[in-house]
Amino acid sequence: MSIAWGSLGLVALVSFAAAIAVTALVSFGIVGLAARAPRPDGPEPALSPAAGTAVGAVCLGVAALIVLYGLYLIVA
Amino acid sequence: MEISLIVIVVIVTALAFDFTNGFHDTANAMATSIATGALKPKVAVLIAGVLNIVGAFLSVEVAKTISSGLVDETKINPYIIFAGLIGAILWNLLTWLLGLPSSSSHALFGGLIGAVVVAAGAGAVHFSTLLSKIILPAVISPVLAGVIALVGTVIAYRSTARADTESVKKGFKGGQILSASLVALAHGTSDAQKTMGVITLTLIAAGVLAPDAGPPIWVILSAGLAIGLGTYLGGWRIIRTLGKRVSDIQTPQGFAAETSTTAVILASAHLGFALSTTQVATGAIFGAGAGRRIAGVQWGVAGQMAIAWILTLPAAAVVGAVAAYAASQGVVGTVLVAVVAIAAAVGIYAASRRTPVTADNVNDVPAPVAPDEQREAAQA
Repeated sequence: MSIAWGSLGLVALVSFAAAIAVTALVSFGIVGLAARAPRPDGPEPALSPAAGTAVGAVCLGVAALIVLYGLYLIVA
Repeated sequence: MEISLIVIVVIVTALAFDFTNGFHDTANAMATSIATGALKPKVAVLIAGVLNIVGAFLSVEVAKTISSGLVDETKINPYIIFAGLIGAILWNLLTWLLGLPSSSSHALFGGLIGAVVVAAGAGAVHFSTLLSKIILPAVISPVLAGVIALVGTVIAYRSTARADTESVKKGFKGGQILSASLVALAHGTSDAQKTMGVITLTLIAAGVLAPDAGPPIWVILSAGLAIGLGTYLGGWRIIRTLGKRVSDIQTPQGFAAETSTTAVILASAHLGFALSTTQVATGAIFGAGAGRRIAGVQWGVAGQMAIAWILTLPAAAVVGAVAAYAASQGVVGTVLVAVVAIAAAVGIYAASRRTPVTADNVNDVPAPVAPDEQREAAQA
């Protein structure tokens, strides 16, 4: 009996990397976007509105690319 | 070309299985989104249902074998497929009644194995394939998805800890809608394909289709609609279990869990492992729960599920075996199996009406509270 340990390991590695990357990017993106329009009663944002917009756009953009690649894998 | 009665019976039974597959698995994509309120219950199941139909059309990679090499396929005939499907349907309905998420694919494989053993002997079952393709991934995949969701949850909470809570909540709500949709789409491409494969191979065996033929458009359409309709009707009992009984799930956790589910399913499907969507999604939800507060996870619920998972294959196999024995006795036997199965299905449905779980009351259960939170609340 042959168990494809190599492929199993690869599945584990790829899914870990992809899921963690997307989760982290979206989290950072949300932090960035939250800095754009701080509410008066909210905490002091760590970024300036402009930097927040940039961070948000870049992080969410890269996350979107990873998701699109996932969609491509479903369709292809 | 004349289609014999048994072929029609198999097609109808396969679509019925597809339907139970759909409503059994709505929870995989939508349970946490419904629990966190990211989506309204009816909207969530509508999105999941539509994406399941879309998914059925997106991929043309129809299952080439009925059992994925688990049994000697030359021994398979329409009666065995029929008996196997009956075993799978009844197990799906029973676990739904109990609100337990269990793998529809395992139920199908179990039903087929039981039916083949009766019809052709235990020698026709490939037990080493069973171990390497079903049992091993079934043990590894939920743990993997759980660990990924746990790490993802920790990152999501740590990185957003100092940002404005309201904006963060809104952001993850949006993320959750997208990630849940992706799970539903992946589900449609993989599970609708299974039913299409079963119907197509039955038609080929009956000589209606040429060997190597793809599924006719009516097969794709009916399989997509059956799973989509099942998904839309929603297995509210299982949605409640995964969304509310495992842990008190919040939007960042829901997002981390669904992202983990999608990643594991896509990576494994791409590398040729047919994983159970249900087990991956369930593992991810437990992991996400533990990522915020280990004590807040109801590990007893995990124990119940583990028992259901272990029982799925053998239980469906027993029903499949009995059904195969009866169906092999000729037309009367086949009709008897169908009648008994329909009666059992009606009975399970009737039992479910005594404590109905619907879109309106799915979230109306107290969320589990961690022991230390309970103490804090008592002191306050």
